[in-house]
Amino acid sequence: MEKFLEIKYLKIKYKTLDEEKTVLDIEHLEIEKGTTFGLVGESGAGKTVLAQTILGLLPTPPGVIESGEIWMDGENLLTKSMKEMETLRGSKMAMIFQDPLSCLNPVFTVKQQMMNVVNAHKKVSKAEAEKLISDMVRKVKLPDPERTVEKYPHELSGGQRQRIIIAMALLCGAEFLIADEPTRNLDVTIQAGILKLISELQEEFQVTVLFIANNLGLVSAVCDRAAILREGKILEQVSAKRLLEEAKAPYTKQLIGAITPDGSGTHHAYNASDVILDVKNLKKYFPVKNEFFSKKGLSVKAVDDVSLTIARKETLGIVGESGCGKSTLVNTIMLLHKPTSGEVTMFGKDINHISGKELRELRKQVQIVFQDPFWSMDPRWLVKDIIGEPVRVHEKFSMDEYVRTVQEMAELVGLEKEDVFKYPHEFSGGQRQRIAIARALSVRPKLIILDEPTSAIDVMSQAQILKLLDELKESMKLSYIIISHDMSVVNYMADNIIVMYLGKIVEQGAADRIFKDPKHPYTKALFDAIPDIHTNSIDELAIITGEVPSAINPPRGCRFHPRCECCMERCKTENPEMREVDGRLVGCHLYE
Amino acid sequence: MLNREILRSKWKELKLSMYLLNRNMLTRISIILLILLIVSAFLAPVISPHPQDAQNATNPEISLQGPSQEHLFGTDELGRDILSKTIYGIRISLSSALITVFFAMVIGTLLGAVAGTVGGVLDEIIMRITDIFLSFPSLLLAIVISAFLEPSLQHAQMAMVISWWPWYTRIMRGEAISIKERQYIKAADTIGTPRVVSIFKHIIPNGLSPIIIQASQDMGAVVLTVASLGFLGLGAQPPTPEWGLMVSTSKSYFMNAWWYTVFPGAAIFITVLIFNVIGDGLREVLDPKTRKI
Repeated sequence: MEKFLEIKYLKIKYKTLDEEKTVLDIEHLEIEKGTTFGLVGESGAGKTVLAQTILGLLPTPPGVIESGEIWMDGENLLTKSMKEMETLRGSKMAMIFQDPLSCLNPVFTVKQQMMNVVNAHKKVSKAEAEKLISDMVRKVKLPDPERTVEKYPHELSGGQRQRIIIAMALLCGAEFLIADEPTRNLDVTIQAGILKLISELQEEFQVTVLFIANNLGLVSAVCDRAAILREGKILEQVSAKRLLEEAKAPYTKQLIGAITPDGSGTHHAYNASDVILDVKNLKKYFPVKNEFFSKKGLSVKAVDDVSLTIARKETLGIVGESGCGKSTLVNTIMLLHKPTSGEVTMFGKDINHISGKELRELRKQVQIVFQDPFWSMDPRWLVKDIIGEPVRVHEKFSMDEYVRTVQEMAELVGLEKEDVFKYPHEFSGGQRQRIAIARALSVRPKLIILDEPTSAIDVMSQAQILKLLDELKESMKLSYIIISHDMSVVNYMADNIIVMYLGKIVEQGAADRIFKDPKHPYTKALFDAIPDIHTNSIDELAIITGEVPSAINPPRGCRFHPRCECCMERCKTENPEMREVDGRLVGCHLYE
Repeated sequence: MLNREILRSKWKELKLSMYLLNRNMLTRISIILLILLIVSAFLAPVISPHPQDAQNATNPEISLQGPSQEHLFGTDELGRDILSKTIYGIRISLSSALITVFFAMVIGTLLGAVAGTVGGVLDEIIMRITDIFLSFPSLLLAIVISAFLEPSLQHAQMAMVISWWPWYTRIMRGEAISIKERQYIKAADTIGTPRVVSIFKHIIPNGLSPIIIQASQDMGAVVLTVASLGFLGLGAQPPTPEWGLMVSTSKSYFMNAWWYTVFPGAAIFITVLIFNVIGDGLREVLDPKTRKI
């Protein structure tokens, strides 16, 4: 095979006023033409620095290229001038970014922006440019291409935006694509579609792809070869399809191990009669405000007829795409808003009929750990005050008692006593999540809501956090509600799960049963859309066509029917009841 | 032991800020000059050669003498030492700036934080009142106030506070609205932290950076306004050694006594410049967006 990109002895340093740090030190890296090369590493490993250096976009200062060569198609990129790199970018190489919204200019339509790209690199007439654009938009499989390109970025969904970015990258015949975690902000069902698109286009245009990811599962599904990057150094290069067999470096093995924590599937005993939370037919509608046409009765049906129970020491997983009503459900359980209708009984009290002191007492029992440990803490507070915030609200402690409680909590989650006198920015992501857990625990609640507790932290810390949560559950007799798009996390933690789609539960029951043998077509598709370490080809991934419909006007009948593979006539008119199938509840006409 | 630990982490933060401030040569010089100004304001009776001249003393026999060894900045029409008067003037300018900005900041920040956090009708009310106050130019307001009350330094300061607080309200309201959406506020809500506590402990501390930047830049503007009001006869009254007033009195003698106008004028100029440079320096420290690495 012909090699397309070759990096030799590349060494990059970051120089700040008082420090000098080597961020990238690569001896040799080779990417063959027309293949997909995966680059895996935790945040701070130097993945983005490498991408920026190849594109000639490394910010200097603080970056300094000490030595090395980057050969692409027989040319050394590092000796090129700014001007030459400018013409290369876009025409020969292009980048697909993590966040498609911030890469598109909100004040221009998609078409205008694509026009700019064409005009910058090609001398063609307007008609030709338009033809080029419409061809490309068709190739990235956007629905209704003519109208889509006339839209502004905010009118498109995340998946559509990412498709536009890909179209723009390929518009002027780029031969080399750098995809920097292109699906990180997308739902799993959309992710599968984007990944499939990238690989199809790669076949068609014979482009070479450098695929940056922090997830080995993605890499094994998408890439041909992969390199593991750690602290700027390449630990090993392996065939992506044979990661499990070929990986030799202990760090790689740790990464593989971190994806699926030990003891997955061993669920804990709990007494089903010990119900602490009982939700019956919960509905939460948000009225739609429209200033010009105030149509009465129009509302977003965020949660529509949901029933569930949680017992002491039980862990309930909630699974679904964004917009399925998970957050609304959780906010209602958190007592942040009152339900539109339905009963929520918590510790024997009906939340519709309590107020004042009782409400505060109940609030103390339910705490939450947020997804992003960087934004869920006030950066100006000391850790002791962050952990102690609930204590201050709910208890009357003296200063000494307060500090003692906080330190106790810090030690419980594996921090040092002295750590509480630091600021949150002095901690890593994993440690910050420990602080968040300590905050949730500090008033000794009975129910903790874990909102994507591991998705914003590094793979290596994930397993530790999950283990910690598991231990705490035993020692403090906690119940958890865990929301995550990472199915392995839910599978590891949850005893029972509910799968939600557009405000309704579609499948509900014991986690191990549902994971082993999902019944509802949506659950099946959802599980099959997620690449894991055993996925060898993108074709194995299921794709749910279309986007999630609006919750203001949900489809008649079964809400999933427009996207369902097994859609029957009655699905379009008749809403399925929840029925017991093989030890769990399923809402689908297939099982009648 | 506990307090020591906390102090140490605060000290670390302060050191970083001082380092960032010190990095810029111009800011560093301005800080040194400001410290000098503050020290000389405190030590005015000690360092001024003729302290009694800044109050009521008159020596008509040495009126309007040029700079000499005895009177470095010369003397005025009543034979008073201009250097001494200028040094005493520092007290007036600095204290006016401090008092005015402080009160404007406190009122503005509180109202802005409440308006931004609570929103709704209260927000509407506060912001419309703010708009009304914003529509008066501060000089005009001072003229009106001294027309009703007698012109004095205190009334000038009052007028300045009244016309200055709405700016802080606007800034703080904007900050509060954006901070309110951050996750730690949501976290505080779920914990059950009362809104009042959230406003004082989360929202105001996190929104304070632009307020402090604005305040440090307003200091210069206030010094200038105090001088303008004094010049117009609407601020400090004679024999207060206020710079604007001094420049105003000097204008009849300008043709043959340049020192009388130049030295107080230079004092105004330098003080305003110092405040503005420090304001820019602070902006660089507190607002990472404008920070040059």
